[in-house]
Amino acid sequence: MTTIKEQAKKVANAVWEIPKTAKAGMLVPAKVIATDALFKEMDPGVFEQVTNVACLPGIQRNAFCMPDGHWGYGFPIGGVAAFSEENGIISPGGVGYDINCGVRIMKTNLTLKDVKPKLKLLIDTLFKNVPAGLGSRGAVKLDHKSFDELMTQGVKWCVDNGYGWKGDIERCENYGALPADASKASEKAKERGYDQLGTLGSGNHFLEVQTVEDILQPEVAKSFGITEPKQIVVMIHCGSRGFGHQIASEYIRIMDGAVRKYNIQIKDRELVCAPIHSKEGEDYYAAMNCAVNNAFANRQVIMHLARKSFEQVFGRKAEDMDMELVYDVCHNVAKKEEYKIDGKNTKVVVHRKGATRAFAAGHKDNPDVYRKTGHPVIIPGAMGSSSFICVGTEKAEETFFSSCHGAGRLMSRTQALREFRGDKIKQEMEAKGFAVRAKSLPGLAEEATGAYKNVSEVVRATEEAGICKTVVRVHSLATMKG
Amino acid sequence: MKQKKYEIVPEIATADMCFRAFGASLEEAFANAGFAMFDIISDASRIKPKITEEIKVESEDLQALLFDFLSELLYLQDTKRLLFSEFDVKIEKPKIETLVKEGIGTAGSNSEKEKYKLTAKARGQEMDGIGLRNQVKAITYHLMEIKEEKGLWTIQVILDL
Repeated sequence: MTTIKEQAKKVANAVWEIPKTAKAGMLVPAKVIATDALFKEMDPGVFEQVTNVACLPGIQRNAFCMPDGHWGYGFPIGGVAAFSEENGIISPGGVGYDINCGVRIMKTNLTLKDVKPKLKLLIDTLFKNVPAGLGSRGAVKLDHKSFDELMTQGVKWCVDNGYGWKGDIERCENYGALPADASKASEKAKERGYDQLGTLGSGNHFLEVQTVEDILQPEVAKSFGITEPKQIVVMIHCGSRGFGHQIASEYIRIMDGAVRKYNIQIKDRELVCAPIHSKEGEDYYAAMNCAVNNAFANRQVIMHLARKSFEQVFGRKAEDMDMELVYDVCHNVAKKEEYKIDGKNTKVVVHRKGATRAFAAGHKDNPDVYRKTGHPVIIPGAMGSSSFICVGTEKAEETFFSSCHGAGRLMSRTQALREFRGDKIKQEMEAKGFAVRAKSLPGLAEEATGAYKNVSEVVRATEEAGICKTVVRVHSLATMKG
Repeated sequence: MKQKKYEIVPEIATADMCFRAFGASLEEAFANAGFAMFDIISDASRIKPKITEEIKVESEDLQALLFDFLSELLYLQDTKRLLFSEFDVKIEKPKIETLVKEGIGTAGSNSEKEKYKLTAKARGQEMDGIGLRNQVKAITYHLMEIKEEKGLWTIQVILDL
């Protein structure tokens, strides 16, 4: 009996299609974006899950999986699917528990030669100032009223309260806030969130000081604020913390009831969902956005603390060091967007779980400051490796302007713990000239570079498929982990 | 040989953690699932039973009950900064049980009388000073199993880390 993976056929460069006949109930074919090498090593769970997604009501065009895809729950990680607002569903399983896990990059006018002599002091200062790791408490204490405001205003709340600059709002996906309703987030969720603002978390979350290594499109890079080889940038990767996880869990339970109420057939309980315009669907959208805005605010506050840390170490104001936000992207979210499908303008909800939006140059939904070039698409690599800033292409319209989100795991955490040791990794990285600070050495082992796919190969797949172009490659100089 | 409380299932989930908890009764298996989760979060042998929290959940089927029980423990961990190592669990099943077929609950009644009810006492202590190993973000339904064979209950759960 042929497996689902064996039924996939290459239909274009780095694009594999699984026909509707591969599984009973599929409404559209599934498509996997991957180079030959990445496709070969993709686990069977990806194919099982992406074809399950293809069975969900109202799905448009294809169920996609990006080249960093791996087995998740419900949707695969790297999963992208758009559902028509008219007759489609919205699913927490297509967003993930860490709502708006995402990444931002901030530039500086410093170069490696400015930072190298003070590298240890810099990473120690960041480690001291940015709360991270299990059980860490927030950098900013929120009262109930402030938290309600923050979850509706996102980055704007931070800027209004002294945790950022006006320009930060302009350089954030959706200007740092989506339409949210604080009454749709439960008291329990809020209780988890009050004390976690400005915390990095743990696992694959990180703060990195990086150097610009290759500038492949100088004009576009210049408009992103990247101009010099060895220019120093700061990358922050984290999400909505306990607040988001609680909202996700609660709405999965609400959707448990919704699939029965609306008689929706699903192949996997993690795909519980509701019609987009049902009460359950709209409540989830409004609550999800509370978590989205909280995550934007979280990354904003951490960036603010990073600016302060640089000020302490270099004795100059962050403004004088041109420490502007380049961009902030979500990679676990559902967005309301519009596409031409079968000749008709169709409103859809695009679910991207472990995938990044990548609008092309000129697209009207780019932020104003990046309308001409298309916004930066930030793709973090594994610890101690390269990361990329890319830009979407017109061809990306086929994947609902979606691309990969990072390196993608290759090895389970338990396997990584068997193969790698945190203290050895730290030693090896420091011997190569990198600085590493981690709250948890076992956590460091789980995050070893070898536990992840090669991010360069992942980005190459998106270029081969024609959906993204690389603008800048950066490389890790100092890493901070929870 | 004494039945162990739980074991990690290493190769099932790439980015997450899968465990199987055991018990001579459904309730013991639930209690050991709680223990397993906190042994993954921290080192359960270091968690002393100084503080008791009462837990009450009601759910439409057994899998949802397990999801709700473990989720409640995570909520207490985050909001009260507690870790737990001992659990006394009581489960009341409805007269007509809701079968979970292939992971999806069949049409069950929403009536209060027909829910599964769990009450538990969880004993533990404040987390400060105890080393933490993993951040558990949430419980998932993925490959969740609750079954009984020859007098041994086995619960399989994947935790999102």
